[in-house]
Formats: sequence, structure tokens, C-alpha cells
Amino acid sequence: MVWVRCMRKVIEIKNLTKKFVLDWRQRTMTAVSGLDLTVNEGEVFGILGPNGSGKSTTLKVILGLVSPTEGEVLVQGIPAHQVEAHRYLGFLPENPYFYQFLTGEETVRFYGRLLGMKGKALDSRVEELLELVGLLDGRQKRRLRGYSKGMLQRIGLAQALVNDPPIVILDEPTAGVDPIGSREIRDIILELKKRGKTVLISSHLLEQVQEVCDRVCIMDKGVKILEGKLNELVPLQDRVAVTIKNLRPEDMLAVEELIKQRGGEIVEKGQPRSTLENLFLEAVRQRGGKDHD
Amino acid sequence: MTDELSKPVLKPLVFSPARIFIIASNTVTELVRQKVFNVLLVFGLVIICSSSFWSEFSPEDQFKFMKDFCLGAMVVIGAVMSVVGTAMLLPQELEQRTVYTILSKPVYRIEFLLGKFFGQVCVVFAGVAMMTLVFGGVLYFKELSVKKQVRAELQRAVEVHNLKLEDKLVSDQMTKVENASRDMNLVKAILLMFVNLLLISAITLCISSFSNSLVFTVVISFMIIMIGNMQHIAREAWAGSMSPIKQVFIKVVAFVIPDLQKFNVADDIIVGRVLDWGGTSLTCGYGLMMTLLFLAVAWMFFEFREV
Repeated sequence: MVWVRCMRKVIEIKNLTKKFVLDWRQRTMTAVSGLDLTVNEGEVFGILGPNGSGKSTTLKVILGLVSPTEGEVLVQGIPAHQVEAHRYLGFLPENPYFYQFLTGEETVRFYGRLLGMKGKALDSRVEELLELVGLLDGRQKRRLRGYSKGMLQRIGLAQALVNDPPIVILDEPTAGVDPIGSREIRDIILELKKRGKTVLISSHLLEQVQEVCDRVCIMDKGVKILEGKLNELVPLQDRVAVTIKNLRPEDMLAVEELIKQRGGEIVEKGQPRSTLENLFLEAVRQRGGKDHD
Repeated sequence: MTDELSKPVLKPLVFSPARIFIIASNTVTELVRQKVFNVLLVFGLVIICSSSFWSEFSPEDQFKFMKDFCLGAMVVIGAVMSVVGTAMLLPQELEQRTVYTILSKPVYRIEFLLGKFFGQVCVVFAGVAMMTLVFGGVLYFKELSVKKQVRAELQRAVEVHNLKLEDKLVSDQMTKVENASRDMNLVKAILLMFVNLLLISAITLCISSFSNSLVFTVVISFMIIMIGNMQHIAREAWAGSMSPIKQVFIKVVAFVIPDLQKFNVADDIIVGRVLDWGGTSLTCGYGLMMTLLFLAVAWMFFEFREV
């Protein structure tokens, strides 16, 4: 395969509406309504929203698993329902199950063979991916029946990347994964970004998305309610935070006085704390708990 | 607009028998490791072996009974394996969401469907082949035991009547036993059974391609098998007094549901009717054609199904 220098829009969603027929009386439920969205090449894009907001349906339309009721979805300019479009995609479904009777290694190999890979190229790719997701330590020889949720998620990530696709779609990649696994998946996403991949993430875990996404779209009840670059949406433009070390109380009073004199207002004051996640990671690391799965 | 140059340069994606083979071999592994299949197979093998314990009939009738009993058991076990195995294929993939990871890859839906179908058919065929081998073995050992029994009876009769045992008499009796045991029609019957099971699997896959319920698929498939095996009875019963409504009904049933009785030749074998290869080939051709038809309908439903 030869990948030629790329550019802008890799996924285009134009006026997408998806309705599901509920019963024989043809009553429908609208999962997504009039959605317009563009994902650019090389960015990490997050679709956020509560459960039932239409995130997974949108991803299913992009993957050609369901067809749009109205509108159009293009992947690299190809209509998403065409199998040709799937050649550019890697997909990790929410709570992946896979074939329980296969081992982790056999699973990645199966998907690789399905994509036409074989011989030494397949062997080295499988090894490389198992190493990337941290399962090349003997656990790859175990049947998936005995895998934890976090390990299944890693195998899911490995199969999604097996043909080195330019676009990777991750549906709730950290749902049900412990903080260490979650951190590792975050690192893999950042690594993919570094390699020039386009990553589309659907999630309702906002803090984790905030750490990796360049742009986000927030959906609710099937409708897009907000879209934009994260660094433009999140910061409070008229505020600034400063963390000071070793400041005496009397000096603190002087600083506060100065801020008042210059027309500023102290909105919040307190002692910064480590996050519970950092505390957890530190505690586990100190015990040398690498085999958390 | 998306820049065309940004797309990777790839060969056009074509229909691939290799992908079908990969999905089929994965399906074989999946089914072989399922307990239900192994239990059914063991059950079938036990039934076939048990047929040799019925020895209160005359030697000739013993062979007739064995053939009838074993062929019947093979058809029933094969049909259960075909229906249950095929009915589970798609619901399992949908429930476990494994279908998402396969269909989101460059795999045509027809490749997925055929891969699952051929994998299932391979397992059923392997099961029936094992039952056939055991059936052959049971027949062979029965032949040896009946020959021994006949020889002993002849010996006893000769001793009672104080006669000389002639070689020709022994040889004639042995030939009679061999003729009752070895029957080329069995090969044709088993060939027809394979085609029958292929067709039953295709019918079940067709129903499964639009059904959302495993129970619905299994029940409807067995109903179709029942109607397919009994429609000739309705035809014969209504032949004399065919009202237009009954005629239309029978024609519709005959059009939609294949006549599965064509594949059941056990009765012909029991009464000693010779099956010719021409008729057998025609029935096989009919079965294969109907299989293709049901697979095409299954594809049509699955192609537009939202997963």
C-alpha cells in the first residue's frame, strides 16, 4: 500500500437524519436529526453527549452498518455505505466481545487475514500491535473468555489498527476501563495522532476527551448543540489561574491588594490538590502494580 | 471538498473467495467448540450403534431395520444440527457485536453470509460423514455376525438330519447375507441426504437473515421442513377432488417450499427398489438449485439489514 500526502476533510456528514422503525405500525424514533459535521485529516475529534444522544448511531452510519434516512455521509469522498470506504477505517466498538474461543493473538491475526495480510508481514504486524497495546507478555496466548474488560478493549484497539488505517473510530474507548488502562489508551490515541492518523472518538467521559481532542461536537437527543476547537471552547477568556509555591501569608495579602488596585477580582482562592486519578496512579505505581489486568 | 489526492492508492476491492474461506474456517472452529454440536453427534453415533442390538428379526429383516433406523437417525440428527447451527449463526454475531468489527472492515456482506454458511455446512457434513462411517462399520460387523449365525444354524441343521454340508449351500447363504447387507443404493441415499441438509441449512439461513429471534427461526425452519416432507401427501390426498382453492394452495406451497420428500429414499431402499443415477442426479440438481435460490434471498435480506 502507498499512502499519498493527504489534506483536509476525511469524513463529511451532511444533513444526516436517522430514524428507526419501532414496530409494525411504522412508528419511528429519531436517533439523529439534521447533523452536519466534518472531520479533518490528522485531528482527534470527539463526539460527546449523554447516553442516547445519537453518538453511536452516527458512528454506525459512518461505518456503513446502518443507512441514513436522509442526508449523506462520505469517508474519503466515498459514500459510507460502500464497502470501498471501509478500507480507510479502523473501528473499536463499545464493549467489544469478539470470538471468545480465540486467543488474543489469534483474534488480531484473524482480522489481519480478513484484510488480506499474510506471512511474515502479518506476523510482525500482530507482534507490533500486541506490543503497542501492552499484551505481548504471555497474555496474548490466553483465550478471550478469560480476558478482563480492559484487556478486551486493548485487543479491540489492536484489531482496529491491524491494517494501519488512516482513520480510526473509537466508540467509548475507555468505558469500564480502570484508570491505568484508560491512561494507556489515551497515550495510544496521542501516539496515533503523532503518526498522522485521524481519530474520531465517541464518549461521555468528558475529562478524558478533553485531554486528547483537538475539536469536539456535543450532541443531545440526536441534535448537534455545539461544535468547535477545544482550546477555543473550554478556556474562560477573561480569567487567569496562577499557582504559587512558598508564598508567605503576609505576601499573599499584598498580592490580593495589588490585584484589587489594578481592577482585578479574585473569583476563587484555595490550595490546589492532586486529582484522585493521579493519586491512584501514583499509589499503584509505588506498589509496582503493572499487572493490573 | 475532499482532495482526491489525499486518498491512499489502493487496488479496487473485488469479491474474494479467500475472505469467505477465512470466515468459514473461523465458523468451523466456533461450532466445533460448542457443546451442543458434540452432544448431538455423540447422540447420533450412539443411536446408530444401538441399531445392531436388535436381533430378534430374520437376518434379512435385521439389515432392513438397520438401514431404515440408521438412515432415519442420520436425517433427524443432521436436520437438527443444520437448523440449530444455522439459526445461531447470525443472532450470535449480532448479540456479541462481532459482526460490527467484521462488516466495518472491507468485507462484502455476501462474503460474510457465505463464509458463515459454508462453515456451518462443513461441520454438519463432517458430522454426517462420521455417522456414515460408523453406520458402515456397524453394518460390516453385523454382516460378520449374521454370517457366523447362519453358518452355525446350517451346521446344526446338517447334524440334526445327518446330512452333508455342501459348500454351494453355504456359499449361497453367505451371498444372500452380503446382498442384504451391502447395497449401493445406500451411497445414493447418503448423497441425497447431504444435498437435503445443504438445502435445510439454506432455508434456515434465509429465515435468519430477516428474523430477530432465534426461537422464531428454529420454529419456522422446522415447520418448513415438516411441510416440505409432507406436501406430497396433501397432493396425493387432494388429487381426486381438487377444488380450485386447494389447487392454488398446493401450487403456492410447492412454489415457496421445496419438496423435501424427494430426498428421502429410505423407504425405496427397504422395499428393494433400485435407485438409478439419473434420477439421483436430477434430485441433487433440484436441491442445489433450490439452495442457491434460498441463499440469494438470504443475501437480499441481509444486504439491507441494519445491524
